[in-house]
Amino acid sequence: MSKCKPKTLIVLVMVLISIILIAGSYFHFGFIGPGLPDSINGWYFPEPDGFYNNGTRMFTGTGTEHFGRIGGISSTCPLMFPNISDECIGGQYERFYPDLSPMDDKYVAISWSFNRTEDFENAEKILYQSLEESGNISVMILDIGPELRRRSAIGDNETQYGFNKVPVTQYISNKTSGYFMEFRRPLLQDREDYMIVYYGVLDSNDMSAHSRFLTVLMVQGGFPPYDRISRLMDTLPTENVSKNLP
Amino acid sequence: MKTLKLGVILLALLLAAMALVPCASAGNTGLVNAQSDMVSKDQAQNVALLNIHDIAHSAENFSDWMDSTVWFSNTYYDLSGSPTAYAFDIKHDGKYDGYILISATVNNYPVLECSKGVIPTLSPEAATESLSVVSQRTKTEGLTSADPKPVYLGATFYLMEYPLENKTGTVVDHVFVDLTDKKVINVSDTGMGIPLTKDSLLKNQQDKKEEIAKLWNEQSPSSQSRVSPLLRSSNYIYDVPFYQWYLGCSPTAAGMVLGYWSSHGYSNLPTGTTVINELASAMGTGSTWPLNGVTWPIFIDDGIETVARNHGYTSFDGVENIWLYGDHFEEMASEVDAQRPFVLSMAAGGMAVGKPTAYGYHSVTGVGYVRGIQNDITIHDTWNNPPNYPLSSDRLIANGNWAAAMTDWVRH
Repeated sequence: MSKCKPKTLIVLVMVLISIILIAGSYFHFGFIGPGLPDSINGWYFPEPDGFYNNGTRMFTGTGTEHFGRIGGISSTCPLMFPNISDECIGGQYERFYPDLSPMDDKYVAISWSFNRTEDFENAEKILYQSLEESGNISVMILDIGPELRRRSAIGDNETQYGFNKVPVTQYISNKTSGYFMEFRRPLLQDREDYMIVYYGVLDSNDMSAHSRFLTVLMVQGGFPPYDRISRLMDTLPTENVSKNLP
Repeated sequence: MKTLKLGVILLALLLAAMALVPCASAGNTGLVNAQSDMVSKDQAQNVALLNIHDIAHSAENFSDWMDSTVWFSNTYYDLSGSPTAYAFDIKHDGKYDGYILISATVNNYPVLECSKGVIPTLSPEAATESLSVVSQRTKTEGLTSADPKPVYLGATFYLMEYPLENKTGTVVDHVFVDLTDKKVINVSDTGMGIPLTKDSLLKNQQDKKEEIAKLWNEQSPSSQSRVSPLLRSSNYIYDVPFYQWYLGCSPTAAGMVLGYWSSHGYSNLPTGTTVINELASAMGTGSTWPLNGVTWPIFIDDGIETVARNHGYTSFDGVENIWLYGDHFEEMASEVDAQRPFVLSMAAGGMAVGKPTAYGYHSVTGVGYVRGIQNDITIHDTWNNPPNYPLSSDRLIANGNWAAAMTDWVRH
């Protein structure tokens, strides 16, 4: 065996590595994507997609009712909850009768976003403590099946999630009552994206009257995959919860 | 031994060659600090007025700019203190109706941005938040901040420059706050690498210079080369669905194309997350770190053809084109005129017209065009960040507002 062969091999390996590095930097490894903005603040948020009624952007609610957003989306969140994130959007919504005359009920959707795990975990603690002090909180599984089936019946294929129940934290107080959810790393597992979303009715503590219509707002806002949804201050949904109804 | 020495020398040469692979800062396209190339405020105001009327003709959403006026608002600077842009408020019936940003030198496109929104540096929130960021520094160092200066370095790069003074009133430092991220930034980190060869970059720069010069020549109502408003045109493909980002931008963008064809004669094609799932698999979109959500653009057309074939359609043909800046605009317009949506994949993509976030390395779906002094492409960009990027809204991106791009026409 020649004494030069190991050295030749070393040289060849060095050349090969250099070629790979040059080619890689030349083509930037040829990749496109993942194609997400730095912040996904408001990524899951009910956005009207229907017609205009006297300047109000509308979308269809359950049955023949309609929802409209009151005004634009606010980047300063309502004061009813602590200011737990600089990235927060909120919107108010009202319901309309089939003849488009407004009802008295007013609803709110809020989304807080975080791009650091530490900030998110601190924020959920602050929020949870505030909710405990100001109202009644409980955990439950919310059935969004009826709203998903209604959407499917009218040809909306974009709501085929593969689940029709979601874990929520219910909050009841005199100022507002509704549901909280957390979306943890909803898009990519290696991105520190977190959201806390709230869908609630204003000035009412009667959830039996408003729960169904809050699911309309929630489905309009959209969901990430089921395993990224959790209640406040909770880990992933418990295993004994069946996510799918027959 | 000789072989080893030769190998080391060869390696050193190859590594040195790597250093010559050019990188270009996304914020430096055409911005040159040269007094002789300056545009006066009056000239810029004329350009602003001319262009808002052009835009009013070309884009329905901006039709009320037809009888609007422009009022000088602010001068923006680069890091060395030279003017880069003039901002003008657009007023309709005496009320604020948007802004337009005009280049302060002839080395950049005349119209840099326009929007019906508020320019980032002038929003009350920006002033409060940037001051709050700076005060964290001044408190710890016993300094005070003087009047800030707005800085514009190119698409998305809005900064506020705060001179910091000591107790004697002497400026001892400067702090730059990025108004998009609300953070103090190190200005030496504002560059961005783009994947071009030296030759193609030089050609890119040369072609851009020629286009920019042509555009400035047209900035006069009496210009012989000016395109008459009556000759401007636009076209749009209706019913292309809006899909939110899922698994990756490339399969999502391609999904919207096939989703359109699903309701236009090819009903076997799936839609929504189903078609995106199939496309992601067919075009090899990564699903684990570090390639999560990432696609090789050369496989986009193959993925589209594969999914179509799997559902019984063998006539679908994905045709790739590489754009250095905007050289395939007319071909793209032909695709839109033929009602064929397409995939546009950008390297170092800029921001949509009037929006605050650059696209970077991103695939979007092309659904229309606006042809005017500045040609724009209408896109569905998969992003859902209302109010800035509500999903169900079209976006306009200026033709060429990227370092390089690839389009996939989808024909059959």
